[in-house]
Amino acid sequence: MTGASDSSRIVVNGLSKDFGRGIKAVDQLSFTVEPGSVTGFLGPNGAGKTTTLRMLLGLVNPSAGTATIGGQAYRDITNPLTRVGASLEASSYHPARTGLNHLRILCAAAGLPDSRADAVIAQVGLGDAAKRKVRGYSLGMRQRLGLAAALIGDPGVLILDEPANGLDPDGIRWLRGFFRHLAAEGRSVLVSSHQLNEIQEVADRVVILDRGRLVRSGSIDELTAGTDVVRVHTPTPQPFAAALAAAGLGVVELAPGVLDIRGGPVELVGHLAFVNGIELHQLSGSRANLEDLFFALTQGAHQALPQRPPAPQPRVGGVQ
Amino acid sequence: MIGNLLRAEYRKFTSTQVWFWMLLVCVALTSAFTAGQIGGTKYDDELQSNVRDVLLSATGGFTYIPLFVLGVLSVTTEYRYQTITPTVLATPSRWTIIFVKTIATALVGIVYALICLIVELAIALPWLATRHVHVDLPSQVGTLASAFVVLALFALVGLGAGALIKNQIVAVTVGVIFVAFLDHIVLIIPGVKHIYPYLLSGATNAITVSPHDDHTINGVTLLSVGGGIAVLVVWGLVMAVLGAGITMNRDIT
Ligand SMILES: Nc1ncnc2c1ncn2[C@@H]1O[C@H](COP(=O)(O)OP(=O)(O)OP(=O)(O)O)[C@@H](O)[C@H]1O
Ligand SMILES: [Mg+2]
Repeated sequence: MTGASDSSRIVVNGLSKDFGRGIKAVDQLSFTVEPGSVTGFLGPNGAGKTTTLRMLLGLVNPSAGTATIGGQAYRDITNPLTRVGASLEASSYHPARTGLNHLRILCAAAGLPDSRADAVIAQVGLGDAAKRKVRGYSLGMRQRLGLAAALIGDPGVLILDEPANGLDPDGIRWLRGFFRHLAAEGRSVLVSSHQLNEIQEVADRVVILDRGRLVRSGSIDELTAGTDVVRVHTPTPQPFAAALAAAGLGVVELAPGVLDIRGGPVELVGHLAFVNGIELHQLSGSRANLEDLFFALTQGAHQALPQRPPAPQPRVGGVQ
Repeated sequence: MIGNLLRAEYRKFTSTQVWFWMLLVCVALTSAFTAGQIGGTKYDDELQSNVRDVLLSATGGFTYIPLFVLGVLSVTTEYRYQTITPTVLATPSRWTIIFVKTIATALVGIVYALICLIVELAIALPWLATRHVHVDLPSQVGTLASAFVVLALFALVGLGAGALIKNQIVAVTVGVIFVAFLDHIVLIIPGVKHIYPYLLSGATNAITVSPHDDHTINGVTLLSVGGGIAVLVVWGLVMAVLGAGITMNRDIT
């Protein structure tokens, strides 16, 4: 493994893919995945996630732009399985082959000892099914086999396309721990997902894509900063609203004695109450989660989905 | 590195049962045609003059088809089950993939062709002996070599067809239609018939025709044995190169 060094930085620069018939699956996409971090790659169906990952892996030829891993195009990396592990859709198996044999083929191709196949199949919890034909694997088992294949060469970079698909809640919990473990070992993980809340828990950064274009990228804190809403209950709303406005915060009086304050974190509001001698009966803060942000940023693509009520989650419990 | 990739190909080949069923088909076809040749010849002295044909039973029938299919499957299975994705991830260069598959397929062709010949001899030699037919094996080495070369090369031709066409049903159907029908139809079309020696069946005939027989079919002269071998090799390699350069370089989505 190469660890958190420049050899595992992913740089996507001006990447475009036109599948013909005017379909711009990916359009002038640029982003960077820093070594040693877990980066969530998010976007609605058809946003171009899979196409981008496949271009990064040399499977799809870009119409324009470049995608490099450690400064090299995937095609130019010698023995790529030992540098980059990839798990794409969970269907790239010969049904009559056993899971273990699938991995052993990769061992042979990459010049690795067969013991790697045994090690990774156990690591993903498929040890008991290793000698069964893939035909009899469930979707979740196929996903795990894909992860095993990605790990086979002990790579410093992992590129995973919707690895949570088909996993049961237990599997998802396992996957979450697995990402943490991989990142703790200093690997770079680029993981596309629809499981936004799963991503929020494990990703350091996210790249959000919509209709082939970059919508936003950055750490989750950066992206959700500024979306704080602080609610206070106070018997003296007028003087407090004035003090808050003087501090540059936006204030809305929802009901007599109930204020919603935007533009600052809950700590700031609490501090302003204290220094202005305002009595508070409740103080609670909430911040948009990744899912809210995602829906806000990619709204157009979600018109087919049922309208989701805004559901800010309490970040700081109520203070009486 | 090529050694590792060949080992990977060997594992792909042996980790499903296709190799076994195709071997069974090869053995069955060879046995059937050998038995047909000997059993279907009524008189022993007639059989004596047909020893050459008996020893060509392995290629006289349709045994080239399973060999061709094995070559085709080497590439098309990867597309059918999308294992082309892990294969390309391990070996990003399509040229290297096809190069390795070419060597692997040639080796498979050699092994299967040898097995076919052994089966043929195991049936023919004892049976001919009971029919009082004398077989002078040293003088028949050329005959056996012809049968061997044709079978082994059809695996290579299959690989080329698979690389170029990618869809296994289409590749197999097109291949068999050409070898079994179209090549022969060419022979009866006046202006076009002169390309026959350069087609798969024309080349096969050039390899297996008896040196003492007429080398002219319908006014078209066959190539030499070496020429026939070269034509089959070129068909296989040209299709494989085109496949690697054009078809396989397309997006894998
Ligand atoms: N081989 C192809 N030929 C034509 N269009 C394609 C091809 N592959 C993908 N597309 C189109 O490119 C766009 C992006 O598809 P892609 O699979 O990359 O999206 P995605 O973000 O992975 O979606 P999902 O979340 O559903 O997996 C879609 O509009 C899709 O229809
Ligand atoms: Mg996708």
